[in-house]
Amino acid sequence: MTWHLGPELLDRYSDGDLDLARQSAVETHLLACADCRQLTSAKAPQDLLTDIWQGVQIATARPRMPWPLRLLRKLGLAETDAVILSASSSLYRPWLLSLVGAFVIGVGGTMMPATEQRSLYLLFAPLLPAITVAAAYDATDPIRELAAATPFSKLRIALLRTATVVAIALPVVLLAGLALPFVGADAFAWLLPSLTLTLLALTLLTWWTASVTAWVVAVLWLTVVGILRSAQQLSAVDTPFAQLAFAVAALLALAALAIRLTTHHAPGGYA
Amino acid sequence: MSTLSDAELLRNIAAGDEAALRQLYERHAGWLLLRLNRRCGSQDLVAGALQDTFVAVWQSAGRFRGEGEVAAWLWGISIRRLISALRGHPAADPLGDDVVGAAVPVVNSAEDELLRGVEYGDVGRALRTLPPELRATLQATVIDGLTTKEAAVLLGIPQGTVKSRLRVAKSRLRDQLMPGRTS
Ligand SMILES: [Zn+2]
Repeated sequence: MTWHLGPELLDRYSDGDLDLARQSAVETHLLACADCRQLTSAKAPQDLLTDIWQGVQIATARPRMPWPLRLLRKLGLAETDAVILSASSSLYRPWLLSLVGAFVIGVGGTMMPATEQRSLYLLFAPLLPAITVAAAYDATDPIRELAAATPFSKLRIALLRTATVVAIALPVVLLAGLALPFVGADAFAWLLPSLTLTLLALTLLTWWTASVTAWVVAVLWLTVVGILRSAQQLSAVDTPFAQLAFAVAALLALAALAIRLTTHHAPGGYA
Repeated sequence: MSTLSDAELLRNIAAGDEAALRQLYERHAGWLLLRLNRRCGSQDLVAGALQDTFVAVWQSAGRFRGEGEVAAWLWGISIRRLISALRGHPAADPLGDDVVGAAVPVVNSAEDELLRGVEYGDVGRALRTLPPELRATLQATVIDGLTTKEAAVLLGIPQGTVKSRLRVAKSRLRDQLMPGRTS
């Protein structure tokens, strides 16, 4: 090396005060000389470098994934999606909710008189996935900041969370129903109403917060079940007519959700 | 203990050593930041590009081919991250081979060779005789090792203009530096 960067040249380079020829000479030299790189680096704004390093640390942190995510990962969930989802510890709450809900249905059911068992199951089973989805959009969610800082589509994150929550809640509730002797044919009858309620919850989440949405959906379903029960028509839920009605309602909710999404209103205020 | 070479640090980073990433950052982030500042006036874009660079290093340190300077490799990644940011959207595949692989500068002609050795002698003087827009084009393509497409984004001019300016700049330099030679 025939020459090194003197103090004056260093100052002028870091101030952007060199003509292009000298600047190029400095930069070419820097690529080849570790000593001068060190001297140059000392001229850089250290506060900014500290900030950027923190950004690097956040972006490279790899928290251990919770078990439901590891399970979904084995079932084909993409690594990048799993990492994005695992950044949010609040997913534990909806998962816990679905487990507790299934437990309540199971234990509660055996303690109720036989006539009340069906209404209990029909009351809670369809609501559970919808409520857990709403819970996944809680406002204290740290993934909100992550969504703002990553190139991932915010809608993609929102729908991924929904799918992840439902993928856990649905089998749990279904297993609870199949394991209970009093449920019988109703173990499947609630699937369509549940789909309707979940889509409705997702649509409402494009306007309202998670708790408001959860209450609205719950009160709505309670009203439907209450009316059916007072008219002694609870078994009507199983009929093809009722199931068709639920399917139509689900399609309507899906259409409403699609309209909200195409106008850039993602559930949970991500958009 | 802190005498590991850059290439050794990269090997440790590839094995998941966070302390090695920190050490590489402390060695290189400063001058990279200053050099990026010379290419782009937006502090936000520059800071984002530098962060992306070290995230990319963390994820793909194993792709360093072990040839050439680590410093040049890092610069190649960071200038391309900056260009992605200037395009207004991140590269579709931030770790693509075009990002990591193209980062080793390619010397492709006698003029380039001369320019790389640029100091306070003839080449510096010759460079200074060029109009600013030709110098900027030479800097982006030869010094930064960018393709004409990338240089076009960085300079904010069409690709065709980059090519024609580069042609003019090189022929003028050739006339000054190698007057006896005809092409
Ligand atoms: Zn030096």
